[in-house]
Amino acid sequence: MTYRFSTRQTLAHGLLILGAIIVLLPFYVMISTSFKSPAEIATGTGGVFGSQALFPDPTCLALGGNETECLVRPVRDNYSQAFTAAPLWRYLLNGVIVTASIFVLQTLIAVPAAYALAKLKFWGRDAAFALVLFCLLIPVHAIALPLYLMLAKLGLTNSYAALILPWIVSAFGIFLMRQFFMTVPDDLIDAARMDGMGEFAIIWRVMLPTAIPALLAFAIFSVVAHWNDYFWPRIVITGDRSLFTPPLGLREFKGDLGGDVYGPMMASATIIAVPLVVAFLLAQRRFIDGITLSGMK
Amino acid sequence: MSDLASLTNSVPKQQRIARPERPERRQARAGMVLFAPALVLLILILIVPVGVAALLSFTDYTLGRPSIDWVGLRNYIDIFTGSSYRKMIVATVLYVALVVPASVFLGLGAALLIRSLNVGQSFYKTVYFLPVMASLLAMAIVWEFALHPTLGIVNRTLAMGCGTPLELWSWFARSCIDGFPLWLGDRDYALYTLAFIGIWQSFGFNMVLYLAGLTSVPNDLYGAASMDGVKRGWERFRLITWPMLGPTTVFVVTITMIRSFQVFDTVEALTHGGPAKSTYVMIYAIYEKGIAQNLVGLGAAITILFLAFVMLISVAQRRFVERKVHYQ
Amino acid sequence: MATIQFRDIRKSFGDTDVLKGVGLDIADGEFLSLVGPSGCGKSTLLRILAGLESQTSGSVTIGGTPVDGLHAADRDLAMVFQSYALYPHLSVAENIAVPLTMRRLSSAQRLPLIGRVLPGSRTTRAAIGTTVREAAEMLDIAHLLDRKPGQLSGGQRQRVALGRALVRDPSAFLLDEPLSNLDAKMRVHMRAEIAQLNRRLGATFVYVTHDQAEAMTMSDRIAVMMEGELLQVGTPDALYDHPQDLRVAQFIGSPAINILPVDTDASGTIHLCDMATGLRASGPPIEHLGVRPEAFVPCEEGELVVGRVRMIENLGSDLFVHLDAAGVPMPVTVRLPSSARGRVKVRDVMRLTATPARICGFDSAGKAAPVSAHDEAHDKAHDKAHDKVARHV
Repeated sequence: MTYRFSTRQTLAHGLLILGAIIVLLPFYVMISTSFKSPAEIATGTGGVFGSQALFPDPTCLALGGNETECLVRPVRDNYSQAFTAAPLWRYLLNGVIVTASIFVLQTLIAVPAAYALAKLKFWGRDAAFALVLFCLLIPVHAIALPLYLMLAKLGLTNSYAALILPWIVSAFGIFLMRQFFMTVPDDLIDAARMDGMGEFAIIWRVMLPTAIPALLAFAIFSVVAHWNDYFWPRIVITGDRSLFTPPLGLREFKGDLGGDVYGPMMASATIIAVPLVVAFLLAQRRFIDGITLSGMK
Repeated sequence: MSDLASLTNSVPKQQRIARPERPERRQARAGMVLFAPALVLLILILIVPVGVAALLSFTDYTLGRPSIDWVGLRNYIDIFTGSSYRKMIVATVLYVALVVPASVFLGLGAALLIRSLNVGQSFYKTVYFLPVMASLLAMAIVWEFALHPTLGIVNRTLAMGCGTPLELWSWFARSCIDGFPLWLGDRDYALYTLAFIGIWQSFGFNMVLYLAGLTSVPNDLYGAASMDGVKRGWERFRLITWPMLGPTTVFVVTITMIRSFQVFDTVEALTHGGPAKSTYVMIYAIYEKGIAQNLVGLGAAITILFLAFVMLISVAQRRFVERKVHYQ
Repeated sequence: MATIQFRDIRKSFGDTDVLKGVGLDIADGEFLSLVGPSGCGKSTLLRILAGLESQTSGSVTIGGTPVDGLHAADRDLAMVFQSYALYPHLSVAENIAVPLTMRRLSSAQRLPLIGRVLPGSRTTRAAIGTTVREAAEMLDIAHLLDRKPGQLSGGQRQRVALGRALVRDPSAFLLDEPLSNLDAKMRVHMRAEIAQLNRRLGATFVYVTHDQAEAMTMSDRIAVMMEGELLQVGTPDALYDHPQDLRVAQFIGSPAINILPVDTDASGTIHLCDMATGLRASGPPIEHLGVRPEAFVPCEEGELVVGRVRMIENLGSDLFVHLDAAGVPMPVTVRLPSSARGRVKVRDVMRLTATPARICGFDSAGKAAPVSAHDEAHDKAHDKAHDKVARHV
């Protein structure tokens, strides 16, 4: 029997709120700073969203304008700088292209393979599954160097291909879908065969529709991992800025601007972090269920 | 003749008769064809590179140079004797040793606390899971700003404590005079700071896994324990909850361990392996040596070492799981 | 024409022989049941016919053409599964339409969005829709066309599965224990519907079941299988009255036939536990006699078996009396008319006899062997007993 405001509950809430403050701290800093003018940032004033007092834009002044012409509102200035100092839209687009391509290709390769492992008897099937399990153990960071070399030899660095190709086979995806496919009744597949479906048709018309939850879980896992991936693009995109993915773009932004221009930098960080966070907030249940599903399997 | 026949036949036929073949053979063929792309790609993208890395680790290859020399074990010897490599191993192991226990236990603690609540469970779940979703790089840069010695909110807030009883703590008093630490710029603090960020980013994930694990603990066990006289929370935890979470814990520890071995983003963006190589973790070393400095042979050797570490952990997990942890 | 022929079908999985040389002819339009206990190989035989599995040796012919190696979808057969195997994500209408869309639309026309706008696609799909509706109306599920299988009852799902088979207009329907997942009442109802479907369509039905009552009520002919062998094929009457094998006799009929262990001496006289039975083996020596419960008649003397009543089952229309009879290990069951109610009590002693014509004999190998009356005297005594009982009733 627990009262709403029992000491136990209060204590638990207290601890959790403390934790929440620490957890949310950087988010707060990020958003708040993106709203502030340089002066406010330097002095740490301005409240949560900055006082939004107009201030003279230094670049504009340097270009010869006078004070009144160059007045800008901090938040607008920060965010517009974020988009103009570096091609942020381009980076976001790259993020979408790369993440979507990776997921689509992963599905096209993993689903048939998972079906074969789950439902078709062929010579070497057990060895094939053992191979998949073994590959689960290989962390991609370990093979980054040789993969980079192979791509460099092929002249493929600085290309979408380099960003996408190494990821298109996902041992995890194959494993997850196979576990799920094993739960589809064999009778259903036999009926489909009698109805005239070839093996390929069976995969896309019968297996996949019944495995949507698993596919969704995998989608979440894949999209989050690849949208936020910094290591591989850092290695493989060595010169062509137009191919930067969002994390790379942010990093270059930071490098370019030196240490001073925190307002626009925080604005960029916000823009990059926002898509996934918003998606997460809108569909929390799905995300958490998906992660749990992939984890428990 | 059925009345349906005429209707069905009025619709034109399109089918092709398939080649005669036993159904078992047909399926076996389909199976191999469907798995083939994955097989080729798995070997090409995951297995061949491992072999290539192993081979290259015995050479002094650099990208762009046409000639390549076999150097045997020299790269490995360099690793085990060179001072910066010792620091590499120390940094990596220390980082893992800091992050894994903290992240696992915070995850467990959060899960237990949240489960005990009457209200607000999904709020806290969401909040604690946010760091996992947000781009680590973006958040790392934000943390860097937050930890800025003068502009950052952390030191600013700490400075507010100057002049209060907190000064009884000698470290605090000293910092009030000398200035609070350069969290990322100080050799003594950098790794701990990175570890903190790593913990911050990962414990939410562990929390979710523990929450799922907790729901699978059979409630009847708690009832039986009550009847047996087990009353207090700590006893219940020790007797039932902790053992039943065994498989979850193994999984969580393994995942966190492997993930923390792979730390790169924060190091590359915030400390570049310094100061004084105090944060010179393995993956960063591979990047610096193998790619930035184009010492591919050396980079490959570190890669193999890294691979060995990870495989060891994974295999140990499997052994441990089979033997000790599954009660059901 | 949809005659089906199995020639010497053998199937082994490693060391186990699942089918041991089965040969069977099925006539066009016939309703044939394959019955037997679990594991006898009947489902395997059906799947071999369907083309889902292949035999180790032997051949299968449909309509005169050998079909070995032919893909299941090309054999012009439709199958109804025990679990119905309906596509859970498709509506009833879409489920029934699948065989048609697979065959009538080209792969291009079947693509999710683009396919619908390709030329010819609309007319074909409309024709398919009409066919589906006709089938649904025939099976009385037209009002369910938009639902998903998950929302239907067992009986309704069964009919959707039948509909999906129907629209194919195949030469033969294969049914693999389709009624086992239904409750008793639904089962009886569906039996009638399926039998009716066979008459109406005039198509061959091959029906697998472990329930002999189902087979008896629905079939033109029954094929009894056990342990991978075909024991007997024949009409229900033939199987019931003249079982060729002891196991067939025991399998068909409920309550089960009474089996009496007997000895045959050198001259052919049959004794039950040292008592005279008044019967002789006209052919090979007989080791078992089979007598159906309704073939037994109570008598005063010249009995075949004698025993004490241990249990009486009153079914209202009939009375089944179980006796512990001398020389017989299992209780002997006799069916008495309802008029006998109240006149038989537990622990009564009863004497039973039967006409030789209704007694089945089985030799040492379990095969049917002829039985005839031993002498006139016994016959006379029996006739007297029979008249007496007839007058009582």
